[in-house]
Amino acid sequence: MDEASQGTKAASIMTSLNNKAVWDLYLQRELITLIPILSRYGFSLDDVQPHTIGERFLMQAVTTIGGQKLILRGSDAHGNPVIIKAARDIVGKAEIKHERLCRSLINELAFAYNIFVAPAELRFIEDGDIVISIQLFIDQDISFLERPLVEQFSFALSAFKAQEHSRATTGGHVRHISQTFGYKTSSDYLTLCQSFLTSTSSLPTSYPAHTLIEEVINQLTKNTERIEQYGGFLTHTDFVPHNFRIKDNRLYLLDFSAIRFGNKHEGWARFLNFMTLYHPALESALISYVEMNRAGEERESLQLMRLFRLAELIAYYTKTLTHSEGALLSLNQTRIQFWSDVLAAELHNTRVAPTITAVYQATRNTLRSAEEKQRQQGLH
Amino acid sequence: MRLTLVTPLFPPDVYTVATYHKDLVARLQEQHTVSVLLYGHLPEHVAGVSFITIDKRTSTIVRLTNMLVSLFSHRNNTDYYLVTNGPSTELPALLLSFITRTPIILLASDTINPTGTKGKIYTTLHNLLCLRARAVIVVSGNIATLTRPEIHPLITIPQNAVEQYEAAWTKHLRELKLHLS
Repeated sequence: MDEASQGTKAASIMTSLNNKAVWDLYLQRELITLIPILSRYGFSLDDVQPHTIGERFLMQAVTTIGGQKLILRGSDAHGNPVIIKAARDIVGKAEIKHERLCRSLINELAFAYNIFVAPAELRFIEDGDIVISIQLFIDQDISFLERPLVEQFSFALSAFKAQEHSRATTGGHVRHISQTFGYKTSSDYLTLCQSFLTSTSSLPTSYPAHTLIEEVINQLTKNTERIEQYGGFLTHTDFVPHNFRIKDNRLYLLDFSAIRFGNKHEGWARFLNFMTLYHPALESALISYVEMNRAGEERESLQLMRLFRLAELIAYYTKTLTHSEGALLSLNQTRIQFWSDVLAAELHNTRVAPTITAVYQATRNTLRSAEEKQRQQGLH
Repeated sequence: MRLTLVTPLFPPDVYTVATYHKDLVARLQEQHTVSVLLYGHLPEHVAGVSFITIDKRTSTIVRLTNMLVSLFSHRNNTDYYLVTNGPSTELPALLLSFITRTPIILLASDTINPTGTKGKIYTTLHNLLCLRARAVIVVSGNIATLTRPEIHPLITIPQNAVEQYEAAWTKHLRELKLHLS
C-alpha cells in the first residue's frame, strides 16, 4: 500500500470513528432531553432500542436528504407499545412534519383515497425546539418473510394495485400533489442516475459498477418514452417489509415520507430488488404475474426501474465506504460487488445466480457486527 | 368498416373500463379498421390500431375543444364513432352529432352517479346523447364478465372464469355487430 492509500485509509478510519462517536453522542444528548418530555406526556422508553444500534449510524451519515432524527420504542401510561419519532435538527423536524402531512393528505386526495392504512398517531408534540410524533406500535404475529409465499404475494400485489389506482393525469392533479409529494418525470430519473454515476466515479477500476451504471444511463436514455408512459402514478419508493407491518390481515404503512408520484414501477422495483436477496421465489412470482397479466410495455418499464434502483443502491453503498472501517468497510465493498452482479444480470433481463447470492449472504453474515445482527432480528 | 373508439380511459389507466376499452379495440381490429381517440398521453400499444391522443394536462375547455376538433377532423376516416360514456367524451360527441352525419354508438361502460349538480347536468347530457345516438349499449352491468381473469402464478389457472370471459365477449361483439350495418 502506498503512502497516499495509507493516508486515505487513515482518514477513512477517523471519519468512521467520528461518525459512530458522533452518532453515540447525539443519541445520548437527545435521550437526556427527550426522556423527561415523554414522561410529562405519560410515555416511557424501552430499555432496548433496536433502531439506534448496528449500522443505523451509517444510514444517517450517507443519506444526503436525511436530517437527524430518532426512531425509538416505548410505551404509554397503560403499557401499550408505541413508536416515537423525535428530532431537534431542523431537517429532521421538517421530515417528521412532512411525513405527517403526507399521511393526512394522501387519503384526502380525490384521486387517491383510502390507499394506505396508517398506525394511529397518539400524540404530536412540539416542545421547545423538539418535535415528537408518537404512533401506536403495530404488533404482528410473524414477520412478512415468515409468512407463506402465497400470502406474501397476495399482500404485495394488493399493495401495488392500491398504489396504481392513484394517478395524477390532469394539470390540476399534478399542481395539487407536486408540492407535497414530489413528481418525477423521465428526465428526473436520468438526472438522478447521472448523480449515481458521479458517486461511483471514486471507486477503483477493479469495480465494474461505474461501467454498469453508464449502461443503465444508456438504457434509460433510449427508453424515456417507456418511463414516461407509466408516469404520474402514486408509488411508495421504499416499499419493503421493514416499512410495513401486517395485523389482522391489514397492511399498515409505517413510513409515508417515501410516497411520490412518478413511474409506477419505482416501488415495484425497490421491492423486487430487495426480494432478489431475501426471497427470490417471491421476486419470480411477481415478475411472472406482470408477464402473464400486463402489457409488454409494462414489463419493460419495470425492468428500467429495476436498473435505476440498483444503480441507486450501488451509489448508496459507495458513499458508505468513506464512513466505514474494518469489517464494516469490507462488508460495504462486498455489497457493492454483489449489487453490481445483480445489476449485470438485470441489464440482460436475467436474475443473479443463486450461488452468487448464497456466497454474498455467507460473507455478509460473517462481517456483520453483533449489534447489527440484533437490529436485523424480525426486521423483515 | 372503419371504427373510431372515443374514450376518456385507456391503459396505462388501470380502471376496469380502461382494460375493457383495450380489449374491445384488440378484438374489433381483427375485422375492422380501428382508431382510438382518447384523453391521455402515451397509450399502451395494440397491434393494428392507430391512436390519436388529447393531452389531459391542459385546461378543461382546451381539451374539450381539442377533442371536438379531432372528432370532426376524423369524420372522413370513420363509418362509426363508438363513444364510451363520460362528460368529457359525451359533450363533444353530442356537439358533433349536430354537424356530421357519421353515426354514433354510445357504449355505457361506466356507471353514472346522478346526484349533485354535476351529476344532474351530466345525466341530462347523457340522455341527450342517447337520443342522438344510433344505438346505446349498456356495458356497465356486465363489465366484470368482460374483464380478463387474472392469472395468478401460484395457483391453478381459473379455466371456468376464462371460458365465461370469452363467452361474454362473443355475446358482446355479436350485439355490437347488429348495430354496425
